[in-house]
Amino acid sequence: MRTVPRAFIVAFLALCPAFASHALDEKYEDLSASVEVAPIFSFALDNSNLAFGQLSPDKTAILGEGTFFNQVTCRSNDGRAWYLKAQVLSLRHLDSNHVLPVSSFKWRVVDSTGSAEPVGGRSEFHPFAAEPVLIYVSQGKDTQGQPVILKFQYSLTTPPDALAGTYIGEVVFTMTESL
Amino acid sequence: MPRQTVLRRAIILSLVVVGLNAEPAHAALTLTTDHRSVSFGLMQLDEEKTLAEQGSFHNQITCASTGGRLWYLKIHVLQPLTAGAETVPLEAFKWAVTTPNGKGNVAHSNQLTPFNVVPDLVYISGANEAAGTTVTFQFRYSLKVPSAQLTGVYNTTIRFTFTEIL
Repeated sequence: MRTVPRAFIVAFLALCPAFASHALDEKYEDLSASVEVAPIFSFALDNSNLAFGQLSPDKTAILGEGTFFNQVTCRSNDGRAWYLKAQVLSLRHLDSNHVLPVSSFKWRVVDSTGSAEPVGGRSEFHPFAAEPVLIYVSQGKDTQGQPVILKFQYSLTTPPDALAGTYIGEVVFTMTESL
Repeated sequence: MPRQTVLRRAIILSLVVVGLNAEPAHAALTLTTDHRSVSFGLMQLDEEKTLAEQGSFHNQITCASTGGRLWYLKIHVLQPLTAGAETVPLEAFKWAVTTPNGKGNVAHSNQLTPFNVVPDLVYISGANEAAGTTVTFQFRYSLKVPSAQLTGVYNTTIRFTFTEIL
């Protein structure tokens, strides 16, 4: 009498795996997907004309006071560190050989969207030099394409013995990628 | 318990199990794709591109079942778009579907929906779609490259899963 339930249980258990394997039929298909993200290494300056106007000897003028005068935008996405430098190629008198000392011309980054702080912080002006001076070193997402915008003020102090006249010069910004 | 009663119960239960296990003679699921890979080509940072070269869609999937049961179609990516250790965020890569002849329920009809790494429901079959009717799905795809994304070639696999409901 007890052999019948045993036989049934054995039969039931034998059917269960078959039931499970046929109850849920499933198919799948795969497709490949791809994109090539283009490289970028760019530098842009929104205002390249720094005009201090008329300035008496031993006086200081600031461009962008209270806000900022111009901004540079740096962008790189190849994962390598990069840095921004600037130098001044003389401040020479237009009609003579007289020059103003380059150190009388200064820069200050008042705002930045980058992951790092500008070199020397944001609170003080720093003198230009005839050799490139370091302004910013990339960090974190700066090397993945995030735009780094640096907003500048400039100051110029004329020496007490400055010869009257118009002085011209060039500021050269250089964005360089580390090897 | 009398022997006859035990036998009767065993036979009834066996029939129930056999009945549950029964399938139509030629039950089958058929899933086909047109094998058009989803290649966005070269893209710039911040650029957005939609693949829909065939008018309003990029590729087609067809499903047919003769199993007599409801069925559903799901979609997912096996991983985010990946290049080495770098990935494109999942929310940047989206799909949208329409079906010109399906009578069932489309989960996100013609709406761009971000891919996920777990299957996302595309469609549940309607009545009379379990007897061999071929249902066609037309997919388009969209990708917006984030503003911060390392240069490189990113790849992944899109998987379509066609399943019968119990």
